[in-house]
Amino acid sequence: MLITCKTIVNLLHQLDLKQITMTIPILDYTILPIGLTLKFSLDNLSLIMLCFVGFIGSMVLLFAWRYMKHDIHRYRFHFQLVCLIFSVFLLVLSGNLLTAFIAWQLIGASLYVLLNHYHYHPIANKSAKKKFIINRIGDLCFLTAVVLCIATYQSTDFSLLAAPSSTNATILGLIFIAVMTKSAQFPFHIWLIDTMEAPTPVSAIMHAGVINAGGFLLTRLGSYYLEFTSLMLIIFCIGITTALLGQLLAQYENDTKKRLAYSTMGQMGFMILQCGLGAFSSAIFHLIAHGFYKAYLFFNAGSTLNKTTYAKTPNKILLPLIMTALIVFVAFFASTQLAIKTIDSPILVVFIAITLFTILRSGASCLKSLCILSLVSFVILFVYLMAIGGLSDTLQIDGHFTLKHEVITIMISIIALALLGIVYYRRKSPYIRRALIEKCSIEAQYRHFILNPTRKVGDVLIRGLMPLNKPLKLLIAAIVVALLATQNLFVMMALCILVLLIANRAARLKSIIFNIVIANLMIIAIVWASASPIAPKLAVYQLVTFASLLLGLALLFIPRNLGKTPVIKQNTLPWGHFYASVILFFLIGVPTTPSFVTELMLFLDLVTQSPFYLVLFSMIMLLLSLVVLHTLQTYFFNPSKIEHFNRPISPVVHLSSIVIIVFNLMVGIHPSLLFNLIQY
Amino acid sequence: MIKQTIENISQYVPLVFPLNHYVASNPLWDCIDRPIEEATQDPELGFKVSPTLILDDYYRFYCDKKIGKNALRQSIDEFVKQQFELGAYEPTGACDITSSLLFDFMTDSSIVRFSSKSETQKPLLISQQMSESEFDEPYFKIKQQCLDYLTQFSTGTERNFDTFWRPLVRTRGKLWANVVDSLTEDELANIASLLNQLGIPENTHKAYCLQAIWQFKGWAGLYKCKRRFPQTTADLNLASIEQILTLWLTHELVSLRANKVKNPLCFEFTQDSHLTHFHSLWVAFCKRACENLSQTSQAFIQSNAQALKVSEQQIAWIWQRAIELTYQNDLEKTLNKPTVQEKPASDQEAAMVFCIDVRSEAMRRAIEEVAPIQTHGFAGFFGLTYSVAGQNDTAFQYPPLLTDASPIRADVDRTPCCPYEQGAAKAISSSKKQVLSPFSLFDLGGIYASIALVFKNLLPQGQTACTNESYHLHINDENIDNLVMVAKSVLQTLSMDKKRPKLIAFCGHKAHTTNNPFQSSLECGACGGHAGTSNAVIMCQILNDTRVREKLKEHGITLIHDELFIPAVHNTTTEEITWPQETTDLSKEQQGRIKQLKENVKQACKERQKQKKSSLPHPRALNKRANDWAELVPELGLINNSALIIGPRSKTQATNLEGRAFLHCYDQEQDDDGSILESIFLGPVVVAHWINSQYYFSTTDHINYGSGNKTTHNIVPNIGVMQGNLSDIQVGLPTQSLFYRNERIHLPLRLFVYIYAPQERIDGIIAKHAPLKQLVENHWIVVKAASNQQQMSALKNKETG
Repeated sequence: MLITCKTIVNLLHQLDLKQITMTIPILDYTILPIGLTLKFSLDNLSLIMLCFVGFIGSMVLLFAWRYMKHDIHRYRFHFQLVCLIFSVFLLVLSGNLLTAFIAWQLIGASLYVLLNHYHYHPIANKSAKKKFIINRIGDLCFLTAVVLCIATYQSTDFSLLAAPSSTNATILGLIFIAVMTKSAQFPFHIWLIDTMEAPTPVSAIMHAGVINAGGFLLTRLGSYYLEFTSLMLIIFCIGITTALLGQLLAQYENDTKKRLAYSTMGQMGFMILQCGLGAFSSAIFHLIAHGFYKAYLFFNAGSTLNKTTYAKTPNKILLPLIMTALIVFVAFFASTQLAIKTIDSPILVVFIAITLFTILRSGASCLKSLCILSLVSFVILFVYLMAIGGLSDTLQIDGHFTLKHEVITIMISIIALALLGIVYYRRKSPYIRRALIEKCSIEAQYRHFILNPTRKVGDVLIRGLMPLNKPLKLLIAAIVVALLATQNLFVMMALCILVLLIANRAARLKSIIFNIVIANLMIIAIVWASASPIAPKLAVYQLVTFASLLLGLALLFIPRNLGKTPVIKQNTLPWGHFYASVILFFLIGVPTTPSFVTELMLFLDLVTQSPFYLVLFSMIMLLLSLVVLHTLQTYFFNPSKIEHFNRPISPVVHLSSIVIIVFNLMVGIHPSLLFNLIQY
Repeated sequence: MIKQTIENISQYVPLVFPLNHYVASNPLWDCIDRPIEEATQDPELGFKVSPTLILDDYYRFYCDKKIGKNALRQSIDEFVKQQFELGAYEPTGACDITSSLLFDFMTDSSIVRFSSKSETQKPLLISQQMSESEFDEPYFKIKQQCLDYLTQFSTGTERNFDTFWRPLVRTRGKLWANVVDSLTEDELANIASLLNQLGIPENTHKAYCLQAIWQFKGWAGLYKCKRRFPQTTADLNLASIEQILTLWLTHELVSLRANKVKNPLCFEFTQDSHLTHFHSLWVAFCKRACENLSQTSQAFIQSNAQALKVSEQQIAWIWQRAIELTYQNDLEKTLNKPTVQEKPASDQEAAMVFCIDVRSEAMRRAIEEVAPIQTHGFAGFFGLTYSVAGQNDTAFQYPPLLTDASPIRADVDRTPCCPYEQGAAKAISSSKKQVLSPFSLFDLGGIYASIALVFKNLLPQGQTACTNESYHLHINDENIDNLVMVAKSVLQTLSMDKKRPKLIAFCGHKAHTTNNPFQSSLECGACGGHAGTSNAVIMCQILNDTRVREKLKEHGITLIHDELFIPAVHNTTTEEITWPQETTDLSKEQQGRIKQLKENVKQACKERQKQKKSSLPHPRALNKRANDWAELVPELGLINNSALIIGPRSKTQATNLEGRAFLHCYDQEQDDDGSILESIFLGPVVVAHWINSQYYFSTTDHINYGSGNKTTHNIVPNIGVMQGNLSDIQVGLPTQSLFYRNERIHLPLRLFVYIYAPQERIDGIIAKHAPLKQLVENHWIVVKAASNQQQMSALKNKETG
C-alpha cells in the first residue's frame, strides 16, 4: 500500500508541466478593433482534468455502447455523447475567458440535446428546457463577465484578473453565478433533480463529469479569487448551504435516482465549500473521487431493487470516538513527519472525522472487527492525505484563507442550526417532513414570483390584442414603428420583450413563429441603433443570416404532396422536424452560430453604455431561448403533434436546408467570411 | 350507488406484484367473467385498452404467410356465423357469400389500413383542462404521496393512508384546509360529496372515477395486490382504491376552486370516429363487389352483408383468431404425425423432471438428443407449498393463486464467503445515510470505485456470488403426512409410482442477470417469482427421507434403497445445469450413475448454448450477457409462449416446439377419477395463462400494460420501478423484453391448452370450477382435447349452453 502511495506522490511530483499555450486563428473575431482570440493552454491542472474526463468519458461510452444496443437511434446518441465529452475537453484546455465561455455554452447545448434523447417524451423535454434556461442565466452572467473583461483590458487572458480591482471583483462574482447554475448550487439546484428522463449513461456523465465544470472553473481562477475575501466567504456560505440542503433532502427520497441526484447536489456543495476555503487541490481531488463513485452508483442503479436493511447494532460511542481521534491524529502526525503538505483546514478535518466515526460506529460489531476496520480506515485516510499532498504540490494553487476564524464561527453556527433542524425533523412525523420540503421548494417560489407573472403578462397582452379590429391593429403597428424610429434603445428593447412575452403564450405555431420573426427584426434594429462602429455591418450580417434561416423554415412549411404519409414511428424525428429544430436552435445565441456573434458584439457595445441596457438585452436573449425551446418542445419534438412536417421532403428541400445550416455554421464560426463582403 | 361504482372500476385495476417477487398476472383477471372482446373496452366507462395488434401488422403477417389462408377463412367463418346467429338471419348460403366477401375485403391490398392506432379519446379530468404545467402538480404530488406512504408503511411508521396525507395537505393553505376539514371517516360518503361539489353529473361518475384512478393504476394495483395476497397481516390495512380516489378528488376540488374555472364540467365522451369510418369502408367495398355478381347475390349483399356491423376492432379480432388458428393447426398437425417408436423405459437409467416453463422445452430436447434420458414436465414448485424466511422478507415458493395453502416453513442457511464484507457494506451504507458523513466518504472511497468501473466495464465475467445457500426442511410428525401426500401425487402425476429409473433429478430453474430490476420476471413463475432451486432441493430431501419412504409404502409406492433423487438447477440465462447440495455417502453404483448423468447433461448444455446464442438479438456470449451490468436484454424469458401441452412426453418428443410451449406431463390412464388433471387445471393452467396474458397485453398495449423503457427506469427499493423522475409504478414487462430496435419480437397469441385426455373429463372439470369455465367461455384461453378432433371453442359452448 505504502509503495503505491509513494509512486502516486512521486508521479505527481514529476508532473511539472510548464504551461503550453497555443492560439488558434480559425475562430477569429478580427472584425473588431481589438483582438479576440481563442487560446488553449496545457498545464498540470488541465492535464489531470484531461485524464479524469477522458477516463470517465471512455467508461460512459463503453457502458453506453452495450446499454443502448436495442435503441434504433444509438449512433446519434453516441455522437452526441462524444460531442459533450469534447466540449468538456475544450473547457479543460481553455486558456482564456472567451474560450472557457464558448466551451461552457457548448457543454450546455450538447447536454440539452442529450437530455432530449427521448424527444417525444414531454417530461424529458420539460426537464431539459428547465436545465437549459437556468444555465442560460449563468451563461449570460458569464458573457457579461467576458465582455467586461474585454472592455477593460482589451483581452480575456486569465492572468489579467490578478489585480485586486473592483472590476475584477465584478467579473469574478459574475463568473461565480455561472458556476452556481452549472454546478447546481443552492437557489439554482432545481434543474438537477428533474433530469432523470434521459438514459442512465447521460445521468452518469452529467453527475460524474459535466456538473464538475463549476468546480474546475473556480480552481482555474482560484488564485484570483483568493484576493477577494468577501467573495470567498460568499462562495463558502453558498457551498455549505447547498451541501447540507442536498444531503438533508437526499434522506427523504425513496427512489434510487432522485436520492443520487440530491446526493450529487450535496457533494457539489461540498466541492464549492472546499473552494471557498481556498483548498482548491482538495476540491479537485473531491471532484475526481466523487466522479468515479457517482458514475459507479448510476451504472449500478439497476441492482438496488432488493435493498438489504441491516439490523441495528447497539450504538457504541466511546470506543469508536477514541479510535477515530487516534486514527486522525496518527495519520496527520505521520504525514507531517514525512513532510507532506496536507489539508490545513480544520473544517475539512472535522468532516473526515465525522465520516470515520460513523463508519467505525456502524461497521464494527465486535472488538476484532473494530480493529480491522480502524486499520483499513487508517490506511485509506493516509493514502488520501498523501494524494492530497501530492496534488497540492503539483497544482500550486492552494491559498491561505485569512478570514478563517470568522468562517469557522459562521460554520459552527450553521452546523448547529442544521443539527437542531435534523433533530426536530426526526422527531416529527413523516408528513411534516414532506410538508417542510414542499414549503422550502424553491421551484414553487420561482413559479409563483417569476414564471406565472410573466405568463400572465403574456396572456393579458394576447387577450387585449385579440378583439381589436384591423384599423386599431394597424394603428398600434404604426405607433410601434414610430417608436422604433426614435432609435431609442430602451423603447426598442421593451417592445421586444413584450413581443417575446406574447410569443411565449401564443396558442398556435404560426403566431409563435410570427412573433419570433418580429422579435428578431427588432433585435436587428437594436443592433443598427447601437453605438458600435461596426453596427451597420453587424446589422446586415444578422439580417442576412436570419433571412437565410427564415428561408429554410419557409421551405419546410410550403405545403407539398409527395405521395403517402409515411408511418410515424414515435421515436424517430422526421427530417422536417429535424431541420426546423436546428434552424430555430440557431436563433438563441449558441456559439458557432451567427446569433452568438451578434449577441457578443452587442454585449460588447452595451457594456460601455449602461448596465441597465445590458440587463434588458440579457432578458431578451433569455426570453428568446425560452420561447424557442418552448416551441421545439410543443411542436417539433413530438412527431405526432403536428402533421404538417410528417410528409416526406423533396431532395431540393433537403439540399437547401443543409446548405443553409452549413452556411450559418461557417459564418458563425468565421464571421469575417461574410463581414468582408459587406461594404458600407 | 357509489359503492357499486367503486367495485366496478376496481375490477379494471391490474394486480401489480412487487418487483422482488414479480409474478406474472393477467392484468384483467377480475374481468374474466366477460368475453375478452368486451372486457378490453367499455364504452360506458370510457375504458379502452388495445387487445390486438394493428391491422397493418396482421396484413403484413398475411403477406409473409405467417397467417394461413385456411386459418383466415376459418376465423372469418366463425365470426360470420356468430354474427348471423346473433342477428337471427338464416338464409341459405348467406354465410358463405358474406365470408368470402369479408375475406376479399380483409386481404385487399388497396384498403387503407390505419398505420397507427386511433388514440382513444379519454374524457378530460378537471385539472387536465388547465394548462399543462399546472396539471402536472397534483398529478405528481399524489404520486409522491403514494410513494412516501408505501415506504413509510413498509417500515411501519405509518399505517393509515388518511392520517398520512390529510395533515400534510392541510399545511398547504386555507383552501386545502377547508376541503380536508370537510372530509369524514366514511370514504364512500367523502367521494360522493366531493363528486357532488365538483359538479360531475351522476351518469358520468363511473367514467370519471375510472379515469382518475387509471392515472395511478400502478400504485392502486400494488395496494390491491398486497391486500389480496398479504405477506403479513398488516398488509390488509393498506390504502384502498377509495382512499386514493378521495385524495385525487381533493386535489381536483382545490385546483378547481383556486383557478376559478368558469365551466368545470367539460367532462364528456367523444365517439371514436374510426369506428364509423371503418364501417363505411366496408359498405363501399360491398357496393363495388356487387358490380360483378348476379342479381340474387346483389340483393343479398345489399340486404344482409352491408348490415353486418364491421368495426376496426372486430376485424382485428378476426385476424388475431386467424393467426392463433394458424399456429394451433400447425401444432396439431405436427403432433399428430406418426411418432417414432418410443424407447423402452428399461434402458433409461436416469430421468429428469423439469419445470413446465417454455425455456425447459428446448433444454429437454437437447438432453434427449444426447442420451436416452427421460424428461418430464411438472409445475416448478413441485406441488410444495412452503416459505423461506429471507434477509428482508419471507419468500413464498408457490403460486400466489393458492391462497388457501398453509405454507410449511423451510430454513435456509446462508454462509457468507467473506465475513467482513457485510460489516463493510453496513458501514458504508449507514454512513451514506447520515447528513454529515457522506462528504468525506466520497473523498476517501471514491478513488477505489474507478477500479470497479474498469473491471465491470472491461471484464464483465468473474463475479461470483458471495454466499453459499443451503435449504432444509424439518420433517417432523406434524407435517409428515402432508409431505407424503405431496410426494405421492408428484410420483403419480409423473407416472412413476410403479416403475421408474433408479436416478431421478428434480430440476428447478433460475435466471442469472446483473443489474436487472426485472430479474424476478425471468425466474420461476410457479415458485412465486423466485428461483426454483430450493423447491428442487427440498423435494429431493423429502423423497430421499427414509420415514417418508416408509409411509409411502402404505400408499403402495415402494422406493427401494438404491433409488435416488438429486436436485439440479437449470440456469435459463446461461443455459447451464448445476447440481446444488450434493449428497455424500453414496454407493459406487449410484455415484457412477450420477457421473454419467452429469456428463450427458453437460454435453447437452453445450449444444443448447450454441443454439441459443444465435437466436438472441445481437449475438453475444451467454456468459457475458448474464454478467454484464450494461446488458438490458440478458435473456428473452418466455418470449413467444403460446401453448400448454398436457400429456405424455412421448407424444411431443418428436416435435421441435421452438420453445413456445409449456409442457406438463400427464397420463390419462393413471388418472381414473380425473383428480390429477383437475389439479393441473387449477395450478399450471392458470399460471401459464397468467404468464401468457402478461406477455400478451404487454405487447398489444404497451402504453397501459407495459413497463416502458428500461434505460430511464428509476427503482424504488423493494417495491418496483418508476419511469424517470416520478411516475406511476410500472405494470407489466419492459420494452426491451418485447421489442428490439422498434421491431416486435413477441408474437402475442392467447394460450392454447392441448390435452391428451378424454373430452368428457375435461368438460367435467371445466364445468366444476367457475374461473376455468369463464376463461374458456370468454375466449381468454382455448382448450382442446387431443383425442377428440372437435374443437371446444367458445362458440360451441355457447351453442350448446
